[in-house]
Amino acid sequence: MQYRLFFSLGALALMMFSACGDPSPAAADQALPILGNRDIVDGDTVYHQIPDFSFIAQDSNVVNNATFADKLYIVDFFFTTCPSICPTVTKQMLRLYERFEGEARVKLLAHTIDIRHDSVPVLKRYAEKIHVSSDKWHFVTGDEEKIYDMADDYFIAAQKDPDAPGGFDHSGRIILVDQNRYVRSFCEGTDPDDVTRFMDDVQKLLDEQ
Amino acid sequence: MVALGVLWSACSYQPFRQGEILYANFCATCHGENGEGFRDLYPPLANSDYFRENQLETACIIHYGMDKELVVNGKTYQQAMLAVTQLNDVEICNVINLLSYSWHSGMKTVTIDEVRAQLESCSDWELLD
Repeated sequence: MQYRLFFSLGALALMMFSACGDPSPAAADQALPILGNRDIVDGDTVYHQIPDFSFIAQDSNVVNNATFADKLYIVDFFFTTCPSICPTVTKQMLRLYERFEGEARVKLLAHTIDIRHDSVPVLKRYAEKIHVSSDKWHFVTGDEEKIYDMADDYFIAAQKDPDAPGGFDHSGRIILVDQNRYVRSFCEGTDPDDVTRFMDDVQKLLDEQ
Repeated sequence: MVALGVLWSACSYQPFRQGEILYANFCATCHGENGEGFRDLYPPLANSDYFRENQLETACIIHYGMDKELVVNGKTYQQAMLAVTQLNDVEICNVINLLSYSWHSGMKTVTIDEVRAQLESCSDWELLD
């Protein structure tokens, strides 16, 4: 009895530990879950899906859902003059870029939330200065309201805030979307260890294809 | 043992503690923890010829921000930097001295009077924030 109690306490502690230590809801041997609210419609489960969008990227090209057909894509929101978390998050996005550079099924999508400063030429220069390919990593701008709406759809907080450094308040979250427009994983782009765990999720989803 | 301890603290002594803390909080995310910069986007602040030649002007860049092209160690940088409005003149002075002392051997430090005079001289700069 004492042994069993000890054992279950141990198991409970382990569960609690793994609950805290691993923000991803998926255990190592399970498929990644589909994240977000779900509805039951006519007996079928309907998952949160990324809606249609269309933005302009650094080569003045249109980037929309079709750009990511049959791809996994990694999303963040930033602005080029952001003095607070963006440089850290961009450096982590760069880690992801380098890890999956040779993997054509993975793309990256960074939205500016400062459309006033971050014109297409500014985004192009930014991408060039960090030496990344515009086929792989799209830096986009577009309709301001649509960008903020999309942030909601990716579960990323983004808003204007005159009191925040640089004038915008936003989270450094990085999101993984699959080829069916479902959100499958996320991490905090300010936390390199969390990004490492996220990388494994990207690989896992690739392996499932 | 004590002697070793004294020796160790002598070697790691850094007189610009405030500058070090401010650098970590306001500069390091872009310019790097060790002033190494980031690709061709953010210029280095360690072993920087630009800093060596424009030590006092750095006060104006911190105070007003900067969006003109800049050549550092032969590389051209164009990324706009916003004003670090949280820092006052004394704090700016300490950051400049940290950069000078830690990463530019042989450079003299600057005084608060020099920093104030410099900030006066660039008072026509446009504030970028």
